[in-house]
Amino acid sequence: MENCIEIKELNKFYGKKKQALSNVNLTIEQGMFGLLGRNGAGKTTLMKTLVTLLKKQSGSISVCGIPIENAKEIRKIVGYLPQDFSMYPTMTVIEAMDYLGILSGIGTKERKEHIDLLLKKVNLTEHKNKKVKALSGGMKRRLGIAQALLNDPKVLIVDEPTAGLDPEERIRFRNLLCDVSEERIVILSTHIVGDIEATCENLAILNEGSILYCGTVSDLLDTAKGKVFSKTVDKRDLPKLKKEYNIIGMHSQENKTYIRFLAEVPSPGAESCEPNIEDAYMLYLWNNGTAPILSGGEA
Amino acid sequence: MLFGKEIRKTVLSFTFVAFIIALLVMTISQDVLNFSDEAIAFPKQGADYGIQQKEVPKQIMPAAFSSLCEEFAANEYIAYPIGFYKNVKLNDTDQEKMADIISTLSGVSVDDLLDKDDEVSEAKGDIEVTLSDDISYEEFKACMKQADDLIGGGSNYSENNLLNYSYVAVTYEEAIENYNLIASKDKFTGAYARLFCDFVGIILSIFPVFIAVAVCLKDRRAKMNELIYARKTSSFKLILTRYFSVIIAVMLPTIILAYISNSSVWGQYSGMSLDYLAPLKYTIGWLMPSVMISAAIGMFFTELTGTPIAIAIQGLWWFIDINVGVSKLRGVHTLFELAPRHNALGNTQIFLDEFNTLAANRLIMAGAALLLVIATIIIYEQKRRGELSGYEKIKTYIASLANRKSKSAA
Repeated sequence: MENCIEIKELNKFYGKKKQALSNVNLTIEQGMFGLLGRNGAGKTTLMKTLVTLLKKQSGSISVCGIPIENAKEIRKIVGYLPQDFSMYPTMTVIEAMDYLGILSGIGTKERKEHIDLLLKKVNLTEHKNKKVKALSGGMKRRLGIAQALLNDPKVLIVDEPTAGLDPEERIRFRNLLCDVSEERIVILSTHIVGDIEATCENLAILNEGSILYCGTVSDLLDTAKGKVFSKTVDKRDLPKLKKEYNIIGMHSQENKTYIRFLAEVPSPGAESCEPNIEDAYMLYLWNNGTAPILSGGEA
Repeated sequence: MLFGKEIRKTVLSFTFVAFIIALLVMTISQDVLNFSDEAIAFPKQGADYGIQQKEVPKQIMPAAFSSLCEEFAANEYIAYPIGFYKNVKLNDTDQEKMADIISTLSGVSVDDLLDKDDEVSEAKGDIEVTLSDDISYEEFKACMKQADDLIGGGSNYSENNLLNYSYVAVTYEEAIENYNLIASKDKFTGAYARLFCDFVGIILSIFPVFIAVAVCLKDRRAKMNELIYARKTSSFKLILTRYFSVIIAVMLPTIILAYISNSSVWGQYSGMSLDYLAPLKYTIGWLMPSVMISAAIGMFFTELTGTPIAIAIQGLWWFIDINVGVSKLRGVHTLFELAPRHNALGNTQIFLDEFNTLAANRLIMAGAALLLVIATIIIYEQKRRGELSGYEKIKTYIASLANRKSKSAA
C-alpha cells in the first residue's frame, strides 16, 4: 500500500443537495492513470480532495499509506497542477520556481540544482529569466509541471493540463507526462479522450460523481468491439439514421455522407470498425443511459 | 528565505510605492523631516514664552457659563461629536432640562428662563443670568457634563473642551520647568521624535491596510492560491511571515525618516546629553502598534471575505479617529484611539501625565493585532483544507451584493 492510492466509499457534497462524488472506490497504482469524464463529472473535486484542498464528507483515502486527514504529510509527497492556474506575472520563471520551492521546504542548494534540472526537463531553461506574463499557454503548462515536480513527489496530479493547447504543445505535454511518470503515480484528469489514449494504461470513467468504469485501456476497448460501425449513406437519409443510431462521427462528400455509429447489432450494409477509446467511452455513457444527444440537429 | 521573498514581493508593489510617496509628502509638508529651525533654547528672562491651556476655574466657569447661556437662548449648540462641526437644536424636553441646569448654576428659575412670552423671548439673547458665587468648581463641572450629554457629546462643555476657555501666559518659571523636563526626560531628541510620530501616525494608521490587502489578494489575482495551498509550508509560517514582512516593510523607511528628521537637530545640542535611540523607541513604541493593527485588519478581513472590504472598515475607523483626535492634539490619550496625537514640540509634562494611558492603548492595539493575525491563520488553514464555513457564505453574500449592484448600475 506504500505505492498506491486507495479510495473507498468516498462521498463529497457541495451544500446539502449537490453530491459531487458518490461512493467512489478506486485503487491507483504506479504509472499513468487517466481519469476521464465530461465537464462537471466530478474530476476536479476528486483531484482537489486528493491534494487536501477539499474535505471529504465520508469514506476513506490513503495516499501511499498516509491517511488523507494528515494533510501536512500528504502535501510533502504530492505534486499538483491545477486546471486553472498561473503565477505572479511580474516574477521571472526562475523566481517563481524558487518561491514555490521555498514553500515546499526545499533547502537552498538542493532547490537551485533541482530547479535547473526541472527547467531543462520541461525545456524552459532558455526562458528562465522571462517574466511569467510573457510565457505562452504551452510554456505556462510546462512550468506548471515543473513546479508540481519541485518536491520530487511520489504522486503527481494534473487536472485538465492540455485544455486550450495547440496540437503540437499537447503532444509535447503528453510526452513530458510520460517521461515523469516513471517511479511515481501520475493521475491525469481530462475530458479529452486522446490524452488518455496516448498516455495511460489504466483509467477510470467518472460520470456525475460516480465511477462508471475502472480498468485497463485495452479492456475498455474490448467492450466496444463489434459495436462500432461505419456506413456511407445518402444525405437525404441522414435525419432518419440519426434517429435510429447513435452517430459518433460523420463527414460529407458531395451528396454522400460517411457515418460512424454505435450499435448493439450490425446494421445492414454497415462495416464493423476497430473501436478507439472515444468510441468505447461513448458506448459506456450510452449503456449507462448518460450519453448526450450526439447526432446534432437536422442535416 | 521566505521572509526575504515576501519582503521583496511587498516592496515591489504599486501600493508600497504609493505609501512611500505619501510618507514623504506628509513629513515634508508638515515640516517634521527637518527640525533645524526649531531648536529648543533655554528661556531668557523677559521673553514671550507663549500661552498654555491651564485648568483655572476662575477663568473657565464664567466663560463657559456665558457661552452656554448664549447657545441656550438661541437653542443652537455647537458640537464636534466625531470631530465634525454639528449645530445641535434641542427639542422642548431637552431644552427644559438645559434650563434646569442653567437654573442650578444661576439661581434663575426655569420658568423665567423658558418664558414663552414673545417680548421676553426676543430678549432671550440678552438675558441677564449670572453664575452663582456659591457654586463649586466640581458642581460646575458636573452640570457641564450634563449639558454636554444633552447636546450629544463633543460640545464646548465636555471635560476636555472646557480647557479651551482657559488660556494663560506661560511664566518664566514654567518655561524653565518645561525646558528642564525636555532636557532631563526627553533628552531633547524625544520631543522631536514625538512630534514626528504625531504626524506620521496619521499615515501609518491607514496605509498598512492597503499593503496588507494587496498582499493577500495577490495570490488570488495571480491564480496562484491552489499552488500555494498544496505546498508543505504551514499556514502559521506563511501568514506570520507575510504579516511581519508588511510590518518591516512599513517600519524600515519610517525609522530611517525618523532618524533623518531627528538628526537634523543633533548638532544644535552639542555638549548636552541626547537620547540617540529616541527615534527608534518612539517609532516602535508609538507608531508600530498602529501599523500592526492596520495590517492585521487588512489581512483578517481579506482572508475572511476574499474582498478588499478591510479598506472600508479601517478607513472608517481612521476617519473617525483622526477627526476625534483633533480635539486631543495637545497629547491627551484614550484606550482605543488608533493614532495618538501630540501636536506640540515639548509638552513633556502632559506626555508624562498621559503615559500610562498611552502605553495601555499601544499594548491593546498590538495585542488586538496579534489576535487578528492568529484568527487569520485559522481562516487560511480552513480555506486551505476546503472546509466551507461562515467566510464562504460571507464571500458569496458579498459577491452577490456586488453583482446586484453592478447589474443595477448597468
